[in-house]
Amino acid sequence: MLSKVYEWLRAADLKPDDAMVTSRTKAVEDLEKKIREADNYDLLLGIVTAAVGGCERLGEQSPAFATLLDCVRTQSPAFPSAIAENGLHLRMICCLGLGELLTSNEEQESEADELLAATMLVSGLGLKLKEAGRHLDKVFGELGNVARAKLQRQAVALRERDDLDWDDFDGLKGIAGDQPNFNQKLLKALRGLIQGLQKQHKSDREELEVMWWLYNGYSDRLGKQIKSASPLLAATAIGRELADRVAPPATVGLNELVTQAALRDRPAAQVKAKPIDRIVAELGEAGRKLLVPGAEHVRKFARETGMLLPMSWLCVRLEESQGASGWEAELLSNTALASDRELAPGELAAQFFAERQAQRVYQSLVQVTA
Amino acid sequence: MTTLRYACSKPDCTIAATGKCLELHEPTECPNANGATAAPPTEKPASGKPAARVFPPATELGLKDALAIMQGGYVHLIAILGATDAGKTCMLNALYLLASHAGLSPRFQFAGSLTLTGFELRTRHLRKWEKGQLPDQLAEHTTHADPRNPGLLHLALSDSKQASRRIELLLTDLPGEWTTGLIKQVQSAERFEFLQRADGLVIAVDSKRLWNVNQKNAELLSLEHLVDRLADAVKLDRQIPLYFVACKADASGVEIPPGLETVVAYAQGKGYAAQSVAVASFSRRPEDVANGYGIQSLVEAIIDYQPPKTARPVIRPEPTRSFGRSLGQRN
Repeated sequence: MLSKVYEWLRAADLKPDDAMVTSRTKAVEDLEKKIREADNYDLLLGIVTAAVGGCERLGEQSPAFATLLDCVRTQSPAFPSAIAENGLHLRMICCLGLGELLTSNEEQESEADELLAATMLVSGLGLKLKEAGRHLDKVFGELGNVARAKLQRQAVALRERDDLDWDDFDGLKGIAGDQPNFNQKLLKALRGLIQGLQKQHKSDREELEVMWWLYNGYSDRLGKQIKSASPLLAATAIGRELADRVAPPATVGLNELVTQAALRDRPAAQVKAKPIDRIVAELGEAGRKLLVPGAEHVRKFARETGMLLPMSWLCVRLEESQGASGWEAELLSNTALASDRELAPGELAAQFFAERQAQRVYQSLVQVTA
Repeated sequence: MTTLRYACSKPDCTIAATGKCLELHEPTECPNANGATAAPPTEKPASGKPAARVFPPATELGLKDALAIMQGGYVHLIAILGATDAGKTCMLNALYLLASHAGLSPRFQFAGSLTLTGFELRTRHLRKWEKGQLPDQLAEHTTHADPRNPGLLHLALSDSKQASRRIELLLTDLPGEWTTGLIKQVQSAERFEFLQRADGLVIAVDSKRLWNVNQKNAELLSLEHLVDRLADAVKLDRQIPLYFVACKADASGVEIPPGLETVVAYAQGKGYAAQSVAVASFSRRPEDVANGYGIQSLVEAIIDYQPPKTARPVIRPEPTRSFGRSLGQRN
């Protein structure tokens, strides 16, 4: 991703010179290193927020902004600190840092930093409208593709069916007389075998759960058949309930399956896009509960990070205020989504799916370090 | 805007006093500069005296000057090419004059400019009418002190369509010789590298030449050569939209001149999203064609541009088991 430094920096500089490119390349490497070395995910999530929503979302006093600035100032000590003067430049450093994080470690597929960054990017960029201009949109398009590619690699690795390893059992024949050693080796062999079987079992179970859920078409949360719910309510239920049955990250194909399920057996007139304010009215109380996280720390994160989990933010806001008015302006300021933004059922299902997956990743990772 | 003051760890360096680095580094990039402090741009007026309005002195911005506005937020770069006397500077003047007297309302309001002096210098011909008629020459011939870097004009607009969001525009005012030079000499392509950052590329065409049967074919051929140069020598990004603007529509009519659509099709054939537009920056027949005809819609087309939807790239690898495979891709 370091090959993109010149190109992406052009959003904030018509013609970055060699010294600038060299200096910012080092800053990007430094930022990636600091994200990987951090003992929690605050810096990573701050950088994703700044990339998706701008540095203004962090504020000049936040620790993540201070670290970001520090990475640049290590190379350019006189770099001004005001977001008003350098906001876009620093935002590009964030995008580059995340791109580098997602591409520099191709061999290792199960890194938690990459998983959290990629799921949050996919969720945060999912409903993002074309922003201010062509060049910035191109950067977001490329960053989104990098995130999806990383998730795909992790998803495939997670579901790959490995051949069971019998070599350890074969090795036991030679040490049958050495009881303590035999027992130790046997335990190791059994553990490996059971782990392999467990992985296969999980994949098979996920497959069965998803296929049967789609076959039955019954939503536990709504308490009725999907086809008897309105298209938008059905879409949200499909997104939420399938995300709970699929281990994150999901493959691209599973994401497509979610979108397809929201459109199945619906005439074209029913799957037309509608503005968010009408969607909110149509979903009602049952719909808005669907994306409210159960765990308190995840709910707090959704409440505070509307840029990354916009529909979760909306559901939490509506649920906690019992649908009190005035949410439209808050939605705009917290998520940059206007209430007249139109969404089709397929789009809504995909976004609910992505956000619920991101919630689950956040819950599993942040729980460990809380 | 604040002014940054730098200090240097090298005792001989005069950057604090002059703003110039002893080792010719950019102040923000100098490894010896040890901090920047914001100083107020002007001193406060003495109590009781009215503050004088200070206009930015710049007639145009260089690439480094543009950093002051580009680093903070997104700036739309609108590049304007075209032969001498095609009408490039007049388009800039018309945009400035429309913005400055609420001619872009209700959508846009004038929100400032760092090159007011430059716009005023360019429009001074227009303020000298003789016998109630516009002067023959509406704008002075554009020249550049720096033959390698473009000069930029700045205009900020407030956009009511996007909750009064501030839209920053940087507009190039290039001499016509740059365009004809690019057509004639491929070596000059290097100085157009900045075009890769453009949000839209406007190619100004004198529509009177396209309506003239003796000049039309040469003009069209020249435009196709320009497209070739942009595509092959400048290697202009195919995602940058091209606007072929038929200027002087007051004299030749607001319909697109004959042949221009073939150039548009030629550019589309090269992979660009191209379209043609007619404008009349200033009208000698305002009762038929309004002053500034087409200017606002051109600016809106660039600001609101949505690239054609493209299929998402194929993402590999695919799982070996059937479950979870992409519906649209197969190994």
